[in-house]
Amino acid sequence: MYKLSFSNHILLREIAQQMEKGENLERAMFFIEDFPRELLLRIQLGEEITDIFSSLKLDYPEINNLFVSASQADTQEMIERFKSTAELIKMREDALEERNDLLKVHIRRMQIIRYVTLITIAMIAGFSPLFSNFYSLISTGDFSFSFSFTMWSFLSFSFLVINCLNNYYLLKMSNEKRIIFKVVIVLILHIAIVLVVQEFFSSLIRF
Amino acid sequence: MQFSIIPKEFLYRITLGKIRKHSEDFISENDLVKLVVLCNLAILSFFVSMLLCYFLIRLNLIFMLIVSIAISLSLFFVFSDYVRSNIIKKHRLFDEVAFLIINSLAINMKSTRSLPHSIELLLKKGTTDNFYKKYFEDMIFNLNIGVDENQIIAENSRMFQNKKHKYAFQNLKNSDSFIETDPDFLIGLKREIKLIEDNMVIFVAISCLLPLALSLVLSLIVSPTSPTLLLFPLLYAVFGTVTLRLIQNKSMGGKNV
Repeated sequence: MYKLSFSNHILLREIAQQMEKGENLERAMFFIEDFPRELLLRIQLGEEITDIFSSLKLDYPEINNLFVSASQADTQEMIERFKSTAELIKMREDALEERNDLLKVHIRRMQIIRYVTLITIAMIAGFSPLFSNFYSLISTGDFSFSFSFTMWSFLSFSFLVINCLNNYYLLKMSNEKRIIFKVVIVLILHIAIVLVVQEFFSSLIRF
Repeated sequence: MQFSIIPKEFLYRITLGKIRKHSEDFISENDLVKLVVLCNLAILSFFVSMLLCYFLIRLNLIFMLIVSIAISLSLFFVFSDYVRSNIIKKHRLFDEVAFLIINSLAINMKSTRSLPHSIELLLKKGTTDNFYKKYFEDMIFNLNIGVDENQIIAENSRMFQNKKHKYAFQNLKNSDSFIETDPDFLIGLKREIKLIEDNMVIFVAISCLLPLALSLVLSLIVSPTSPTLLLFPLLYAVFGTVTLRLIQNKSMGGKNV
């Protein structure tokens, strides 16, 4: 796959401009600056233009469809249509960019919230042995100083589930990609933080 | 055919809800199979957790039932919602390129003057999305067996949610189907941003602080060996999924206007 150094609407507009000057579709490609040389060679060898486009990595792969019937159509009209489609793509890209700028702030905020809650919940889970002692303090009236450090209590399991779910929802809210992968990272981080906190906690109690 | 313990029609209605109508063409056979498997798994997990609760933890009957129902429901809700949001994502990706598809169809119509031929040209090269590929293949199939073209066009315009795209597709045989501007797209983007802005505060307040505070309080008043503690994250799973689903439904409702 080859990647273009310029955006899709520029490619489309350039093709339209060259065709307006009287070139055909294949020849138009040769006048576009920075078009991959290997692909130009393949055009020279007689490959179809749609095959060439399929080996280009485009943001809108459907652009290829625009050229399928290009050889049969009335050129002047085609040029007009290419141009207006290029204009449309440009407008969309601008709008999307604007949106991404706006969303970036939110996504960053969301990311901070995610990490902060991840670490907080994991730390609370690490201190969970303390809660069971508090519980026994409330129910029986005396505080015991023996702690049971284990990952497999109901309490730490419920914290683990809450942490994963919370991150999953926040990831979904901010429309992120590869959600499952990130949730697995959260799972690992949670267990790591819990182990570290418990280690710290148990060493604190020993002295 | 997949064996389903509860009726499929009912299952699809509760899991897919609004998108059954909204994104009908993007629900693949595979998704439906996944839902049925999930449902069966949830029911299986209900019995397994009942057994576990009974033999391992020795809970009383009512409590055993509540815990198992919570486990199976949350499992079912969270994973079926994952399938559901994947369908929505597929539809959104299609919506983003719909204008290019219609424009290429319009160009093809101009040069070939025949609907089947122009759709064939559209499918010939560069279709990356298997969904609309299958969709248009079905259209060609219908055209080949002799269904009326106008009828096919009228029926199949349902795939395009954006009204402008829909009209353009319906007018494919006239020459004015070409899309030159797309104001709905910009409005949609603005709405999306506003929706995220509005809901983020609510969601963060409810979803992050509530589980944290409640689980802290719960752990103090409930014995650490009691499985009541398990109920809370599971209920949170159901609750959070429902909240997110409501938000999604809201954004879908906006798209149709």
